[in-house]
Amino acid sequence: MRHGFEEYVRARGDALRRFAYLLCGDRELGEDLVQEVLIKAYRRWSRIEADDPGGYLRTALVRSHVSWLRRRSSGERPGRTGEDLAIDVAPDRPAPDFADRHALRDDLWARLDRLTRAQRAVLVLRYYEDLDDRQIAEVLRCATSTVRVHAARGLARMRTELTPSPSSLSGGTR
Amino acid sequence: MMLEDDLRTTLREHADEPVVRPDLLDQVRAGIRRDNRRRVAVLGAAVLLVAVVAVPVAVTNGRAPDPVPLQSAPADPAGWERPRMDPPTFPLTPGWTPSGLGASRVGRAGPSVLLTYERGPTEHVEVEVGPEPGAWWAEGDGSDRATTVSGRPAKVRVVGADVYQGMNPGEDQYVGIRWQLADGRWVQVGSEGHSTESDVLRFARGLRLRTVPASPVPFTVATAPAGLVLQTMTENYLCLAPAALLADRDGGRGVCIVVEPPGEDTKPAPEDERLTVGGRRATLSDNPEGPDSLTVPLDSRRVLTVYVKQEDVPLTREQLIRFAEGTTLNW
Repeated sequence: MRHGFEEYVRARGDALRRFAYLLCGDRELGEDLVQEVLIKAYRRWSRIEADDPGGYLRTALVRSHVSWLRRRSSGERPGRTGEDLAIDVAPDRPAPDFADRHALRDDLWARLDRLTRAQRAVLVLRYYEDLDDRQIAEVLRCATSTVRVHAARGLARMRTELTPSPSSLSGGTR
Repeated sequence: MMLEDDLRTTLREHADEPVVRPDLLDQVRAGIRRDNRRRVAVLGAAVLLVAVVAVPVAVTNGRAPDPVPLQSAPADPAGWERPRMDPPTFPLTPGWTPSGLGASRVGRAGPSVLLTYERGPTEHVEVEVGPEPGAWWAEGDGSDRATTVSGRPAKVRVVGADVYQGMNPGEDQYVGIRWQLADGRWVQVGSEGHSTESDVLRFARGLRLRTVPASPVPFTVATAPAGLVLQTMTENYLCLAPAALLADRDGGRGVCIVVEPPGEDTKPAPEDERLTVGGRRATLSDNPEGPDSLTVPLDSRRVLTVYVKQEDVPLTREQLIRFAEGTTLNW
């Protein structure tokens, strides 16, 4: 195996795993995705390494994620139902405390499962990778306006999902 | 706090969750080894045909609007010759195979020889014989068990599709069996798909010391740097490398030819050089060490790519083109 490839995987493998986990929402699928992308990248590593391996692999993970999960649809775990996701917060509760906020984040994580893959990828790239919309558009090979649409619809979907509980912690934001 | 802030925090918290995972490099290494051996099946039923790439090349460099034909096919570079490609035979003959597996094929991955059965993209049985223990295709969960094969101690691993990549949950499984022959060579049987553990054990126990003849070489190469040997061979993949690299059991060393379906990694990058090879559009990719690959779409279902690992077989751009010109697809 090529030395440079080994060094890269040792140094950056865990970061790739974390990113893939956020994209997939499932550790096993994330592991499979990272392995598949790295196996393909190995063949062209000298070229990838000379350019921007981090950017290349991030892009490959996102693009593979969309097509790859589509292929695996029979094995995809079902999304949780809206009833499962309801937040149990008393209507007159004045302000979120730490436990509430923690519960909200768990709930947000679950609600990411209900987005389309493109919406989820855009949100992960924007809020985890801190890419701007132009960079995200390059990753997804789409127009910047499309990125904005994905982001807006994804965020709107998550807010909508939060609204059944009137005083949901972040339900009224923006 | 806004939803966006909560989302950012949520993503970071989940990304940072501590978790014990198997060594990624080991997993990837095993996958690369498997990938090097399994450039097959997804092409569908192979049509018997002969596609020849060995025709004059015209070069556009991706800039000139019209192809500029070369004056003539270049002469072989000094020190090049027709490589000897002795396809391997396989030392063990099955006495029984699970139903429906079809014909076998003999291949090579570095120092190991392979006997492979394929049925569709997910049904795959392979026997590997080599100087070192073969690789398990799936990580074990500690439930490996001991058995015997032909009177020799053996280890069996069974992994369900719920934890094994690319298979149908509830339907498929991986079964691996490893043992050592009396002469010290290791045998590893791997099966993924519908075959049960008892099927695979029966298959392993039916293997006898009798030679399976060589399979046809998938490509003919007219000319290559002198001294290269067949380092890897499967149905649609072949690598030539210096003899010293024959010991690399990962396979895929030297200069490799593969025919596969069009995919993400066969698409040209914007910076790739555009050429035509035998009247077909082609792309040549570079890296700082030199040319990296030459890709020639054959039709809507197949793309031929020649990869070169410069550290194994240094080739100039012209030499890579010349190598590709001399390549003939034999199926």
